Amino acid sequence: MSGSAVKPIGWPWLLAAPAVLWLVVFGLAPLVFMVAMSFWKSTIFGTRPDFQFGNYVRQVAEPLYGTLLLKSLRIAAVSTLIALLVSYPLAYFLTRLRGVWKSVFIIGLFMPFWTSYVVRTFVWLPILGRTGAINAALLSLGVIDQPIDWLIYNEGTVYLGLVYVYTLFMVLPIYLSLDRIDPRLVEAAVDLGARPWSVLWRILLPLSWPGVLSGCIMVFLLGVGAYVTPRLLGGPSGIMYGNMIADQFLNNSNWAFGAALGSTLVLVVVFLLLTTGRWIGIRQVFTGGRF
Amino acid sequence: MKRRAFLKHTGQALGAAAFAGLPGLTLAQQKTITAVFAGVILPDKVRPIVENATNVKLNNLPYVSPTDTVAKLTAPGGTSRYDFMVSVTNFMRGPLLGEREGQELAMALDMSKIPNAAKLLPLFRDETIRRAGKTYAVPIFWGYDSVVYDRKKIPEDAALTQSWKVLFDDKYAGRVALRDDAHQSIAVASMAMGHKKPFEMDTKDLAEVTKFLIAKKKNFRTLWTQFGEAVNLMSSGEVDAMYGWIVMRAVLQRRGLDVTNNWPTDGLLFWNQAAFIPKNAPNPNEAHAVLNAMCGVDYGLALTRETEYLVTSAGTAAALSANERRKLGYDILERKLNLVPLAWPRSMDAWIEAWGKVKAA
Repeated sequence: MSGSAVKPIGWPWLLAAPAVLWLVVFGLAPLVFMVAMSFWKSTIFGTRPDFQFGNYVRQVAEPLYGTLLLKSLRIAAVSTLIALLVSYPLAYFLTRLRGVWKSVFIIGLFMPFWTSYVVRTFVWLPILGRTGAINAALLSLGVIDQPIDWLIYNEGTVYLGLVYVYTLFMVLPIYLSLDRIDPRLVEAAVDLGARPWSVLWRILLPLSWPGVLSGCIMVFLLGVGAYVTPRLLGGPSGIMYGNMIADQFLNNSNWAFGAALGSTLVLVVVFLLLTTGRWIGIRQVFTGGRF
Repeated sequence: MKRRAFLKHTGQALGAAAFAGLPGLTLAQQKTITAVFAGVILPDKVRPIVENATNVKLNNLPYVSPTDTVAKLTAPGGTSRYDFMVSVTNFMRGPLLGEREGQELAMALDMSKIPNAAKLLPLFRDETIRRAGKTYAVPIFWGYDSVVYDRKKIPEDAALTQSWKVLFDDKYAGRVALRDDAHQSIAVASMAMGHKKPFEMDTKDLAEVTKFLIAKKKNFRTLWTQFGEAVNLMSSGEVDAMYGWIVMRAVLQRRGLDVTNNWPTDGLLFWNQAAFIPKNAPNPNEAHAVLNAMCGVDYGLALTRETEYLVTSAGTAAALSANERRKLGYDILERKLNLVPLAWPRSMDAWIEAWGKVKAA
C-alpha cells in the first residue's frame, strides 16, 4: 500500500451536514441573535435594533447584577458538588447490579423524570411544608410539638430541589464511564493489596473522569440558569440570576436588557470553563477520555 | 350494494340531514377564530353562551402576560395571526396605540357592530382605548387585588385587617405571603406606607419602599408565583393571609374554607382587561360579534357567577341582587375606598431592580 493519503469517497461533508445544520440553527443562530439583541433598545412600544452599550453599562453600574451572578455561580457549584457526591456511589452501585435488578433500578432512576420539572419541584411543598408529611409524622410521633418552619423556603431547599431535579444528568454519564471499566483492573488492584480508598482514587476515579466531568458540566450549566426552583422553594430570598433574566422578558418587556444579562451569563460560564478546563482536563469530555 | 345505489342513498341521507339541521352540519358552518386571552374568562360553562350567540367558535391560545401579548402582536405577522385578544388595559394602551397615529397595532372598532359597548359601567367608560375619535379596545371585565385571609386566624373587624399593613405587621410574621412580582408587591407595600398614588412614586420614594420591604422580608413565609401555588398556601394552612386575587377567594370558599378578602382602606388595587382586534385580523366580523357578546348581560352574569370576576357591563351589575353586588365588589364606589388603578410605573426597570434588591438582601 502506498503512503499517499486516503482520498474520501463521495461527499463526506454531506454526512456532517445534518449535525452542522442542527448546530447552526439551534445552537449558533439563537446565541448570535441574543448577543445582537443585547445592543438593542427596548421601550414600551417594543424592542428596536440599535447599537449601544447601555445594557452592559447598567449591569456594571448596579451591584445587584454582580451579586446575583456570584450567588448563582455559588449555588450552581455547590449543587454540582452535592449531586456528584450523591451520584457517584449511586452510579457505582448500578454498575455492580446484574440482570433484572439493574433494569429495575435504572427505570426507578428515570421514573421521576417522566413528570415535568415544575411537578418535581412542587412536590417538595407537601413534603416539607408546615403541614407537610415530615412535620405531620414528627408531630404524630411526639418528637416535636410545633411544626418546624425551616424545612422549606430557604437556600438549603434550593440545593435540595436542584440536586433532585438534576441528579439524573450526573448519574448517567458517570454510570456509562464506570460501566466501561474492565472489572479485572479492580480485582488486580485488590489482589495486589490496594485498599478500597486507593482503588477509588487511583483506578475508578481517573478512568471515570470524563463521565464525572460531563455530569458536572451539565449540572452546573443547568443550575446556573435555574429560575423555577429558587422561585418555588427559595422563599422570600429565592432569587438567582435566571430570575432577573426571566423578569425582563415576562414582566418588563425589556428584551434587550434580558438579552444582555443572558449574554453576560454565557460569557462568564464560557470563561470559567476555559480557565478551569486545563486544570480539570476538560478536553477528555470532548475526546472520550483519549487524551 | 352497487356503487350507484350507495351514492344515491348517501345523497338522500345527507340531504335529509341538512334539511333537519343536524348539529354536526350546523357546526360545520360555524367559523373558528383564533383568540388570546386568559382561560378564566371563558370557562366551560360560559363558553357556549358566547359561541351560541355569535355562531363563532373560539380557539383560545394560552395567555401568558400582557408583555407576552405585546410580543405576539409585534412579532413579524403578529397583527394578522390572531382575531381577538384581551389583556390588561393600562399595560396595552401604549403598545397598542403606538407612538403616533397610524402606528396602531389594533384596528379601529366598528362600534355599530358592538352596541353592548355603549352600556358600560360609568367607572370604565373612560378606560376605553381611543385615539382621534376612534376606539381601539373596550374593557370587558375587571377585578381587584386585596388581602385574602383566613377569618379563623385573623379578625375581620380589626382595623389592621382592613389594610395592606396586615401583610407587613410583625403580629403576623411568618404567617403571610406576598406575590413574587415587582409591580404589585411594591405597589401594595407603598400603599401600606401611606402612598396614595403608588405608580407615580419617584426614585426617592421607591428607595424608601425598598428599604421597608427589606426590613419586613423576614415576615413573609414565601412569595407565591402561580395561582395553584397561592391557593395551596392558604388551603394547606401554610399561611393565614396573602396578597390574592378574586378567583382565589372564590376557589378557597368553594373548598369550604372560611376565607374572605379585605377592603384595604389605604387603597384598593383594581384593574380591567380590554378586548381588541389586531389590525390585520383575518376574521374581523366574527371578532366584532364576539366582542359584542362579551360586553353583554348573559355572558356577564354567567362569568361573574362562575368565577366571581366582575364585568364592565352595567346591565349585568343591575341584574345581580344587592347581596351579590356587595359580596362580589360591584359596590366599590360606595365603599369610599381609595381606588388605585393598576398602571405602568414611571420606570418598570427601576421597580424590577428594587424587587431584585429586596429578594437578594
